[in-house]
Amino acid sequence: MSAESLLPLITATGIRKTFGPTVALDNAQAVLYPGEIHALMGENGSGKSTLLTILAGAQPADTGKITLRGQELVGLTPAEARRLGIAVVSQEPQLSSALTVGENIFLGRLPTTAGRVSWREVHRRAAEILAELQLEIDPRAPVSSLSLGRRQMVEIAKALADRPQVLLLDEATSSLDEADTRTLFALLARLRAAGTAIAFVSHRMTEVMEHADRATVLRDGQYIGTRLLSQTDEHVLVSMMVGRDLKSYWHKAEVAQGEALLRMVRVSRGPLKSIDLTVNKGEIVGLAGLVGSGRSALLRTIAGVKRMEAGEMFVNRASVRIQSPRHARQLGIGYVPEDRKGEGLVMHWSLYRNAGLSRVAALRALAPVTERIDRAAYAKGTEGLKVRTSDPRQAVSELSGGNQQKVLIARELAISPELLLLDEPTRGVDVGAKEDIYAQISALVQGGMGLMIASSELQELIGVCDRILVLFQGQIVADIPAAEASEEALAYWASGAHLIGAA
Amino acid sequence: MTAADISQTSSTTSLATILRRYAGVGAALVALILFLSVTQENFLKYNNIMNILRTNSVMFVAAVGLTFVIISQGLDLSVGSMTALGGVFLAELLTSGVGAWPAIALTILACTFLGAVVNGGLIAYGGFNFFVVTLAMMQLLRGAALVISNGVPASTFMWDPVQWVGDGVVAGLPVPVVLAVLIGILGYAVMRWTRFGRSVYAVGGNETAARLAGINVKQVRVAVYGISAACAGVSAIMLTGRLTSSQPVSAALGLELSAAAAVLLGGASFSGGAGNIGGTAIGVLFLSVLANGITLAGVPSYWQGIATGAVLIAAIALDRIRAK
Repeated sequence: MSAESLLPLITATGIRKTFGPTVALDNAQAVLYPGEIHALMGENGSGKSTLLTILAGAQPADTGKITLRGQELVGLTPAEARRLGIAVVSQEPQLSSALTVGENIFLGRLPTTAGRVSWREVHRRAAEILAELQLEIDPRAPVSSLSLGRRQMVEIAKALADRPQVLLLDEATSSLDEADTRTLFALLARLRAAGTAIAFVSHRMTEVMEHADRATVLRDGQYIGTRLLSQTDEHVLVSMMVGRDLKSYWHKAEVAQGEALLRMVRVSRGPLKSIDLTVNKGEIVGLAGLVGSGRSALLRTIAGVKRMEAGEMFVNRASVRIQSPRHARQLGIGYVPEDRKGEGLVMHWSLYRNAGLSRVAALRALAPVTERIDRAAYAKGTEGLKVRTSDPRQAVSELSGGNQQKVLIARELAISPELLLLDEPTRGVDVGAKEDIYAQISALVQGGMGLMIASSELQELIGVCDRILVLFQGQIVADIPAAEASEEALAYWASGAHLIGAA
Repeated sequence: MTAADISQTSSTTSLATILRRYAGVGAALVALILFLSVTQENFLKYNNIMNILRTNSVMFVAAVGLTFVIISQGLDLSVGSMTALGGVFLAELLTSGVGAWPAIALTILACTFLGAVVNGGLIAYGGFNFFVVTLAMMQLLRGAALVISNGVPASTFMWDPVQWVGDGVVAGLPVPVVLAVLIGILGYAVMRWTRFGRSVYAVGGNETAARLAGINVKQVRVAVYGISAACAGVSAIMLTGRLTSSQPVSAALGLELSAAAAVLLGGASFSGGAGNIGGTAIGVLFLSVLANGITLAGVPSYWQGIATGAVLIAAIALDRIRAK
């Protein structure tokens, strides 16, 4: 592409930003050209979102320079940024769900005639914008009636109402399904053609490779580099993000597998259709698939959260019908759910109490419980996990995402499971903690534990697992040894491409 | 990393920290007691103190049960009506010739059954909103008390055990006070040192997390509403004994709300997962001493509601400050 020949539209260079003693950004930079889609990449905690908020004027940088068309911007505020044509779309739609689509799009700048809001005008102009974006959304519909994906679209329409020249998206696709993501990127491509400079933060490598023109990588708040994506591949980007050789990062160990720990034969339930699988002792089985493909549903079925409706399940060769999470744990199955805040931890509890919860839950109703149980569970569970805390009596809500995740994993390890189910174990976890978790997984499997890991990060599955099962619409469509797996192959099966003309 | 993550590490000392450490309803209670001791000569008299404790042991027992419910992130509005119905039921049993002790036991059992099966069952297994269910039960149980008794109080004066529970003396102390203390200690121990108690906190703190960790949330919910009703049953015996009769119309009117106020004063919150029986005891004492002080000072008792409301708002505002 010819972007390099143009002048940059907006630049941020030498950006430093600290929060108290923590350095979030140090000599970070991003340079956006008109008519490009630019991915901002980096592990969690690398500072991408912070950089985005600085570009949008939401918070000031400590040092550094921001220019727009060569003019330096000083003391940028969100209102100022908006006036200058810089628009932001945040991760979660920030719409008033009781108001209509049109009202939301023009919230704060409703067109008025003689001091009265002209609703006809609002909805006419909203309809115009939506039509321009080729979105079939009724501007009079209340936002509460829309799906999460549609809401995100409205959020984008809102950002575009001012016809910005710079559009910044912070993980705008994380709440979207496949179809909405496609619509979004089609939209971004049209904006690119119109000369808009677009930067987006995303964790999905495939998305970046497919839709972006260039990518800037940050690591630990530092600028690592910018690559033209047509001239690089995802492995280069990942090593740039991680900053080292990948083998040691995943802590992959050769482990001799034992006998079958879990066997499922034609298990069906809700979205799951006729699942056959085996997990051996000392084996790590990965579950790949799109959101809604049945990855989480499968783990929940094994964890006893949902009962299977048909088929047979064997744990240690004994036929079982798992009735409840408690029953699953009695069978030696530990489960770390995907949403650690919503479904995993009791946020205002201490690390001790959270670590003790699964152990305590396994007791009889009036069994005595003291702090000692919690402490013992914590000591056992966190062994080797390097939880960083000054005091395990503090509330888990005060910890970083990575440490929270470690506490949740420790809670399950405290019951010494034979089979551990991890759903998105590293989502929202910083790179250091991720590595600690990988190291722990490696140690566990060497101790003979069997693991199942569901993850959206294909790199992670390939790096950590022995074998990867790909789910598509509730069925296992591929079973690939990790050594032979590639992201393309996994994405191929996960997207259902095998159904198209049996290519 | 976001700004919010980081700001938590840079703790702000100053006023907020000092408040967190030293303020609270306990400190306010001490201050109130000191104030009344100095200004009201009758306050510290043995009779007055015993009077405060005896008249409020009914509220305390109800509040103990309610503490379980509120910590589990629920509310039981049927406590007052349950107490009234318990009194009527007890009087019915007694007048129809059932022995006093069996009647007492049956009353408590019946209340527990109603609370666990109807309140707990509908909320846990039926998926009904706790507010709706217990609001309906508040009306329904009071109505049942009126229908059964025809709205007429029935004397229980002839049955010694009932009088003993409500107004007796044991080892120089009023029986209801001793009972209330024992129930309080039992509740405290269950909440603090048993798996069940921990489950109640877990369910209130994060219901989904509790369920996925292996706690049977439905059973816990049934149990807390059962406990709340059982406590209301005990309150019913105590109240009936003290009043020497069942009072279908007026007994325990608004008890659920004053007990809830005491629980909230004691540090529990409607968002669940926090609080304990010790706090509830302080909350009940505070409201009791406040009411007593108002009476001793000769202020019209109508002011009591205003004082309670103001104190509650102040306590919650303080809690907000402490949470920051």
